[in-house]
Amino acid sequence: MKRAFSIGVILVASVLTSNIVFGQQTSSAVQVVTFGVARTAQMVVRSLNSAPEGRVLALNSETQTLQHRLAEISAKVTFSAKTLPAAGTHQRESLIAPAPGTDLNSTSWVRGNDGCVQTDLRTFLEEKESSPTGISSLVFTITD
Amino acid sequence: MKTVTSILLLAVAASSGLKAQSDGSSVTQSVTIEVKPITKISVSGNPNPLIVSDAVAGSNLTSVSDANTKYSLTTNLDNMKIVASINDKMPAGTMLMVKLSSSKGESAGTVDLSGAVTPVDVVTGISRCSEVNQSISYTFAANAEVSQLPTQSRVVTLTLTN
Repeated sequence: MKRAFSIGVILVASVLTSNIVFGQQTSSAVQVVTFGVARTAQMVVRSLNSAPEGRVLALNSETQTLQHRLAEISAKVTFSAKTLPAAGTHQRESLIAPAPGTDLNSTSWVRGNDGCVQTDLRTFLEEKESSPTGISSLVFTITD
Repeated sequence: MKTVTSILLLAVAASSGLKAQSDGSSVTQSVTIEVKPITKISVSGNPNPLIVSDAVAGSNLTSVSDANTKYSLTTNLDNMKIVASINDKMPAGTMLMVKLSSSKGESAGTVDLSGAVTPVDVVTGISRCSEVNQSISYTFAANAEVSQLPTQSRVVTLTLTN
């Protein structure tokens, strides 16, 4: 009898203690959030200015920024002109420049790899007056 | 004489009966009442999958959001708050953020859960109220260094607590 009474006292005390120690009222709800990243590629030309200066047409494009999530990228520059400029008459500047004398039409300009997150391309074209009528467009294509 | 005595006795008995009826009878009951602390929160389900499938050239971070789920709560306690935690950290280069609206408490706005294995406050100052269908908005963002990430999940726990 004494033992049962002692056990009863201990049980009551432990219940009271837990209420005092925790003293918390809680309620929880859970949500499962699913996410992922797919392969993407997008490029935008920030600005493209053509400023004829006398008999020299300068086509100057400012920084083009590209972003990709592809395993490998290449940027292709093509342009439309009434007549193609002769190889070697152009000057262009890019982070990865094509070999001198490379025909700019349908030529891969930039080839990167997984580590390439953002690439700035600066392209500067200058035509001599003896060259064709002009460059009507520049098309940058990013592909894998 | 006998008849008179009988009549008298009958009269006494009858009057005793009437007196007993007019005394009435009553009983009592003791009714014990108590309102226990109430704390309840529920959600309407899981958000739609958050899949980044586009890149914004020139921007390092691309994000996608979902605000289709709701939460409801009831509490009769003061100074309650909602905290949120995630079961595992988000992959490198990604972020998971949550925003809970509240008409009775103060929302912490958009809260970063990316590393919130320990609960963080998302709504505070909730006192003795019920809220129904309050908006939950999730935003998943990935920077450009994340080339591709297979679809995976995290469990977010919302807890109403004091």
